[in-house]
Amino acid sequence: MGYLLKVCLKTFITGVLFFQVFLVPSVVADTPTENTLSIATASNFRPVLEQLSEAFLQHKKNKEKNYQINISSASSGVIYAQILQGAPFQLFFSANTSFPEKLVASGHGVADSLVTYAVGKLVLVSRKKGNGFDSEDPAEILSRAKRIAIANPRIAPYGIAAMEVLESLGIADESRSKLVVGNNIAQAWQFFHSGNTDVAIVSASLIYASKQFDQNQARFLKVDLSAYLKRPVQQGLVAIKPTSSLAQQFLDFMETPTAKKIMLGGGYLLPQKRD
Amino acid sequence: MNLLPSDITALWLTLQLAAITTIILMVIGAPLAWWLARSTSRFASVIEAMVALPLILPPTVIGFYLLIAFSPDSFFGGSWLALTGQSLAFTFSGLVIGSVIYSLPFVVQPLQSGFQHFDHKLLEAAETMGAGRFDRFFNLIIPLTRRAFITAALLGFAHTMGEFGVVLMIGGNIPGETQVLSIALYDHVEALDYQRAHWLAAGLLAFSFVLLMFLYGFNRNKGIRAG
Repeated sequence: MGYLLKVCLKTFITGVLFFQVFLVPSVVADTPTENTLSIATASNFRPVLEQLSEAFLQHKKNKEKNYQINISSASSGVIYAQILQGAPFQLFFSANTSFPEKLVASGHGVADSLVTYAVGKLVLVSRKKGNGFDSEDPAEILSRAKRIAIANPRIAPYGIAAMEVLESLGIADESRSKLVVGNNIAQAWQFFHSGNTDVAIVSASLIYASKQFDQNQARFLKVDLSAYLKRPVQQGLVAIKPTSSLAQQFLDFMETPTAKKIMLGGGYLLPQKRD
Repeated sequence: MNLLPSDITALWLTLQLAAITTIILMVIGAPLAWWLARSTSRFASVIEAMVALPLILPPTVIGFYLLIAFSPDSFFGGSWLALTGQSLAFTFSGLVIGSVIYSLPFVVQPLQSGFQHFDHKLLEAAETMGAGRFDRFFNLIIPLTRRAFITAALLGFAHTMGEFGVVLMIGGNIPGETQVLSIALYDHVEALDYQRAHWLAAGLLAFSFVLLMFLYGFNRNKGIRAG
């Protein structure tokens, strides 16, 4: 073959290979397909949602298509704001029911899909001191604490619930100066877990998810705060328009006994009845 | 004006943090930069790399490790607690330490550059004429490298004004103690209070721009820009 022809051929083949390797995958990844599900969840539910996704994908494995679930987590208020700005999530698992309801009212959410998927447990965690300080009374623990980590009450439902508990215990005013506020419940947990606060008010699910908690059971004290809340923390979900059949299949999966077992194992209570 | 007292508090807190951090950095940065400019040891490049790290590390990395270091369970945090009776995380002191690390290269590098351009023969001449160390430093070095000092101070100050990632990790969002301007802004945005967010964001933008305009204008007017 002529020299020029060889060069042209080589360039062409390189170009094709380049296209195959670099451009095609990114083009494919950018367009949302029927086989990808984007879920946004409140931070506290993430560990359980990851387990649910795994179980769901296992369940679907016999089919030929390759399904994928992408999970984003943040505090519920942040996700709500993002969806209002057009974030491309298909399902929103909030830590309360008001954000999903607001999304239906604003036209972003599908009204039929509104449902309470779990009831959260609010707990107080503290480090057991070596000097016999093992009181199980929340008011006493909180009064003695030097710093209390909570999620931001402006944007996180568990933060609001934490403030509610402080009010109902009558120690809200004295506790205010001791509060350390995390952007979301996961950060509140990090503040506590790293040793920088002696007490934190978080969701039971975070503790269940934290492997370190299992290992350090003897060091951490856990007190259920449900009795101090006027209403339990109802966590609601909503499907975001435009819906997909995969989203609906996932919601159907949430009703199965497998899913319920996973949620109970993750530290949640099941809702009493469907909304 | 749509600013609430908490926003004014945040502004004042940020100014204080930037001022204190800049002063500390000038005091420790000048000798460090001088040594780096003149040293011929191999160890100098290790130190230079360490100084430059905060330039490229994500601030959240700095904040993440600081939170661990501040913990009463760790050596540093525990010692601090024993010495002062206070924890470091979620306090202004903790923010100062974080800011000093975060803005270190912004102070040291302009100083180092200024010192490198300094003609050392002048120093030797002064020494032969009997000028002592402090004399040489204050009467010879500083006047001739004044631009580097001013650049370092202004950059360190401005950079600390804009600190966010580190404070997000170690601050705890406490009004009057660790809720600096950038955090207050973030808080407003997350709570959908865009009007207050606009006030803070526009204010910070205007301030930063004026500061930088002053800095570059100053450098330009005083003769050669390289020195």
